[in-house]
Amino acid sequence: MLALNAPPGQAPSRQPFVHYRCLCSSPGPSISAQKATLLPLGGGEPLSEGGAAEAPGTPTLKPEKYASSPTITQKEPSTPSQPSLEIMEKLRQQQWLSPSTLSPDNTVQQQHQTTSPQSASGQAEEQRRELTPEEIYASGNNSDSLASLPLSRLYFCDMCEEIRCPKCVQDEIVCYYCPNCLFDVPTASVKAEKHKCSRNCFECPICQSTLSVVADDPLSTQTLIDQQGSSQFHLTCNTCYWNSQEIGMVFDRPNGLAEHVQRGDDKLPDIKEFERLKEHLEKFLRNNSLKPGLPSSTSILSSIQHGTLHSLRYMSSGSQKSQQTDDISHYAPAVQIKEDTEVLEKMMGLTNVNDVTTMNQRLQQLQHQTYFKEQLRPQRIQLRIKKSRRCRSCRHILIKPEQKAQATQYKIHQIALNLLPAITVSSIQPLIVQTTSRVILRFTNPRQEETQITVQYGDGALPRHEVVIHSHRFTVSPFNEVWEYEVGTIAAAPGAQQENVYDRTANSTSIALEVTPVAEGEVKIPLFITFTYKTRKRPSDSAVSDLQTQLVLSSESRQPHAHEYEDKTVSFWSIIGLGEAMPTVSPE
Amino acid sequence: MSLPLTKFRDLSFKSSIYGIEERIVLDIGSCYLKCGFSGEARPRKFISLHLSEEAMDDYLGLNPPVVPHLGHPCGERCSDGVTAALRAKDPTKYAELYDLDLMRVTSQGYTEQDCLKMLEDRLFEYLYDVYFKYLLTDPKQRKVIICESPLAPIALKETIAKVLFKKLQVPSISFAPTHLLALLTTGTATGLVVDCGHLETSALPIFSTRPLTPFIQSTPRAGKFLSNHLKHLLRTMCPITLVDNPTDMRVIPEAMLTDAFLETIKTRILFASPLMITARDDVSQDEMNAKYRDMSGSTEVHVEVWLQEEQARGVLAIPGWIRERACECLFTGDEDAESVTTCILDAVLKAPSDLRRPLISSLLLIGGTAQLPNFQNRLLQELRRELQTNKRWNALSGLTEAVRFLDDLADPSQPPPPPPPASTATEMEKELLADLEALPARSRSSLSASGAGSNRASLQVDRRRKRDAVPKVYESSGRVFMPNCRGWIGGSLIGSLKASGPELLRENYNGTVPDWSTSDITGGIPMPLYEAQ
Repeated sequence: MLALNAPPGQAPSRQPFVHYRCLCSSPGPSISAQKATLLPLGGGEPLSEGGAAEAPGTPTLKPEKYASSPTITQKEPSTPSQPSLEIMEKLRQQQWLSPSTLSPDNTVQQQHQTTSPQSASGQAEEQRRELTPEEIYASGNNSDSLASLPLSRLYFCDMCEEIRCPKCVQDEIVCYYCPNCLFDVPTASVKAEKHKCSRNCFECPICQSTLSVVADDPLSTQTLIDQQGSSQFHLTCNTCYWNSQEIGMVFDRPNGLAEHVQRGDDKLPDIKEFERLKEHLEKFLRNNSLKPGLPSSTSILSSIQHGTLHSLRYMSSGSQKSQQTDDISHYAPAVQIKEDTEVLEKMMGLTNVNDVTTMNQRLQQLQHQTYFKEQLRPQRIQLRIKKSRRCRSCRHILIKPEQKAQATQYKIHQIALNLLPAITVSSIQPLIVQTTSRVILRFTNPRQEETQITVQYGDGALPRHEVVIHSHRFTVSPFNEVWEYEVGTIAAAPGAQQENVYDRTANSTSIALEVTPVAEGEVKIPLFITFTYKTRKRPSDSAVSDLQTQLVLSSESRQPHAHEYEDKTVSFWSIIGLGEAMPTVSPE
Repeated sequence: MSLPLTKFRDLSFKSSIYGIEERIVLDIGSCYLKCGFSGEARPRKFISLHLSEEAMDDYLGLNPPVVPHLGHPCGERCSDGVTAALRAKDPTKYAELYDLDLMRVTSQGYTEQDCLKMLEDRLFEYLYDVYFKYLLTDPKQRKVIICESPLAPIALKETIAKVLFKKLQVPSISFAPTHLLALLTTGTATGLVVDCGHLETSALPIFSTRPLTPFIQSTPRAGKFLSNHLKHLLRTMCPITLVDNPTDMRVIPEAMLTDAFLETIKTRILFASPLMITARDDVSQDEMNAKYRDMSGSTEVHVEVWLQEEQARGVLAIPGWIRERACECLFTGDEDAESVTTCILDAVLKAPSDLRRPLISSLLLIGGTAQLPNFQNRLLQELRRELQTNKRWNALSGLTEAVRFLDDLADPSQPPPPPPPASTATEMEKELLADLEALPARSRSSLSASGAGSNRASLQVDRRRKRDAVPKVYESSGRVFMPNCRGWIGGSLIGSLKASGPELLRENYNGTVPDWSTSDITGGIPMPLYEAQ
């Protein structure tokens, strides 16, 4: 994809890249710090941190908010904890009720909350009002690429008009399936199956690849069904040739093996012992809770946080009573497992490391974590899930796959690749310190509408390389499916104004940058991108238009037509990595 | 969670079809994270935090190190991971999740904020995987139990709570001390639990489910210490011979001694020698090593390695004595870091005198380092020898025979059968009186005068009671659970019994977490803020 100008015989140690920055993880002068100065919340008090989700509280709005959000009260059946909430609220009201706090910004946020009641539950960080481009500019004006991501990993929330990264989305489980047999597992049976495939899928205890079921007699494989009962089956690994016959594991049938293996698993001593312990401790808890007045009358572990106190009390007061009653009574174990003395002998005579299991193999079998390969057993394959992702601020779904395991389509698909202009580094001259080299950046528009793009070099980069951008402002033609099939360059769409750009083809525009590195090392330049596109106004039923009408009350609030367009402007930071800058070559 | 009895009985063992009732149990260590559902007998997944899957699988430097794809750490998935970024920066550096000096400015020039931010990001990555890759469950639905060490930095607890509440939105968290949880898996509630993990070894006496936190002892002699010691041994004692030219000997390059390499050696070929050799101060380390070499009856292990600089294959021979004596560093101590043995005996000595016998006769060893083959037997020997020979433990000398591990099945072939906790009354009386007399002035003064008095009185009653009671010998279930899982299993137990202690609810979360060190010393009842409904 990239034209690399690496010196021959030496691979470049750093490759060019283009990363986009999500607002949630902007390093540098962080948004949260700004918020603290701009908004009255988030001061020094711990109270405000905890309650920031509901702050800044306007008392008149509070009851409405609770009334309008039954989800909260449903989610927490915590009637006794309400008083403390109220107290906190009162405190907060006293603190925040000054009229000065009711800035327009607050109104926006309050609106934001009423439209999305779920987001109010404990997401202090995610509460974000719409940032002005200046604030976005200040938030990411540096060349730190750690918190930025390539475009393909990002989402774009249409409602918030912001980039969303995997860290600021909320995941939800759509369906469970086995990655091997692609069988959809109903949610109800997932837990009982311990999140493992309940069919015939096993992984090799040695190399963790998938095992296949094989008949002992290779000729009978063709006639599996006929030969049922007469032939035996075993598991074999096609990668490392491990064979379940080695450990004496053979089956009478070629299917339903998981059940068979599971049955053996349930008989393991640790499970028996665990059940016994549960019974034992339950009895103990019941006895204890019958006797009031004892230190641990409520629960065995109420002493956890206050263990110190109880122990001190024990020393100072008479202990006989408590000792009689609240110590765990005599316990009779279900099993008795002796320590394996063989391990030591075998370890002393060990000559080859490979005779001992690796950590990975051991950790598949946590019950005994054996040192010897003979004791390893095949494991059922762990299920996987399909996830949908929501924007944390507005709770809208960003991506949602089809519910079937085999289907690869998406129902909702708001990925950044489809919605943001894609930047690619299409050519670089070798970078040498104090020498100007030309870099071509190509902007590709995935949208159906023409896009205006403004590019600005971030001066907060360290070290600050000299960058001259030849065309700050340009347009990119809309995406057209026809172009997908045509070869060669296509003239710009008719009617588009001519700009001083490097190149224009189909739905992409290239611009030239002149970069003069000032120091050796990887050259990373932050670019502030603002793009403007026309989009249909949203229908009025959405909450956003409510907000608009409230904000722009003076302007005529007419019903938007279906064909009405409005300009949207989205700004974000991108980090362009241009590879390594080489030291200046001394003139010959 | 303090439910009245009736409610408790109703709720217990009732589970819905979707199993929402089960809680998530997390045991987050510096190197490994254990996760799973309560009510299950073993963790679902044991995740390594400092090694990659490949490294855990088979990494002994045999294969040339994988060159990262096009200069970037393999593809997009890892390029955004803080863990991957850390690893890419310095692959030889131990990337534990946290260090004990979490709150200090590190040598790399990271400030406290940087460290916490990094910790938070890494924790989120791991916990996200826990929920969506391994446990496959919605974090919003299930309560969480976290097994914590009493000595874990509060900043760590706060960060865990922050990630769980803010990013994953779990409904509630309860913290439970690992030591106590581990002890519950033996069916008893009194004992001295020794957690021999990676960063430190800690010994906490527990009496009747109450952790006696003021008496906790800890020492840095644990897994990491062993790693460093092993590194030193390998560098100085184990040259590499080239396969093509066996006379050519090389010192093992520093770059090869990665964590993965050391961890592999530690977990696969090290063990604790059954033979005890007294290390004395007047004997130099070299002499000691020579002695170890002479006494060793173990085989040499050859490990094939890839020498990056020479572009050649080599063979690293690890002699038997290193394999059996590397962990000797845990049994020897100095002023900076006392030995594991001293740490345990100190904890016993600090405890009230009438608790010493029950404590020392119910030791429980947990933690990953404790899984070295034969480590526990060795520790038992060391403890007995130390009690007999070292003048420092005179006060405990009567207890030499009583030293016993809870998961040790009494073996009839072993010469000293552990005496039952309560023998005849007269003997008991004598011992207790002796114990009291031997009680050092220091610890006696630490007890208030009235406390000591009533202690004596209580002992009288105790003795009378014990005379009537039929002495019961503790029946051990043996090594049914592995030491590195015991803490987690205990968490699973109390989770299934809905007895996980006070909960911190998300609505009440204000950035702070409850901790024994910060809890209100005057109030015995849990603060209403944290109490469950």
